Amino acid sequence: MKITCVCGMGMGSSLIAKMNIESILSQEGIDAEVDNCDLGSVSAQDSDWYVTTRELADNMPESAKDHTIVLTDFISVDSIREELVKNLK
Amino acid sequence: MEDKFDYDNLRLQVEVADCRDAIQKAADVLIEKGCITSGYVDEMNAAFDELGPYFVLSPGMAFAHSKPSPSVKRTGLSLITLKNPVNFGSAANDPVFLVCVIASVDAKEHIDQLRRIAQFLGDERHVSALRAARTDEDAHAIVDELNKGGC
Repeated sequence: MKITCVCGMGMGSSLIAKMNIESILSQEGIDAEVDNCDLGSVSAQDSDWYVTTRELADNMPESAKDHTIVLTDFISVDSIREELVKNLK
Repeated sequence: MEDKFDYDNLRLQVEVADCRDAIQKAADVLIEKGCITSGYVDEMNAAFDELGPYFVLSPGMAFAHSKPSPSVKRTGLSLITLKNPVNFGSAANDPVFLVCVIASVDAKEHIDQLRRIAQFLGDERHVSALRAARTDEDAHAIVDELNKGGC
């Protein structure tokens, strides 16, 4: 499984999300490759799931929207875990 | 780049007029150290204009940044807490009391510092300590705790 974290620039927010998600998935025993990119590069990424923030969700390509997980909090590990587990398990 | 977070990259209880001023004041820390030029502030504001307040990533916390550019001379991250929290227009996460500016010369050099800060702020106790911090001693203790985090 591949998860791509998406943000405006591809070097700040999405990187924080990627770090947190990698650590959560490893704790949960879920095997996945986690990558990050900016909005402009999403359509070039083949991914099972995308993760982004509420403000950017509307800008996601139509083809990606039905497998995009929208997080309001990229920092709280507990909040991210809850959303991930709900969607992935 | 120096891996540890510098004591003088954290400023407490900064007075700001609004969210743009908060970004400017957090950027000033890095401008004064020669990490970025004022052009980077313009680039962060342009990203804010274009993409909205998506970088307010958690309740009360904004992570302002653009991307590597000629305005970034050295990689650096700053943190400021605000005397009076301000709104960025984030439905979920306003008002903001903590602004972090991230500047990196490339796509990778800031990763270790960013990981350390993100892990630190992922702990509610650390966020409470930042909210309550007022003195130089408080700031010193927070940076020490931040630098304890492994990468």
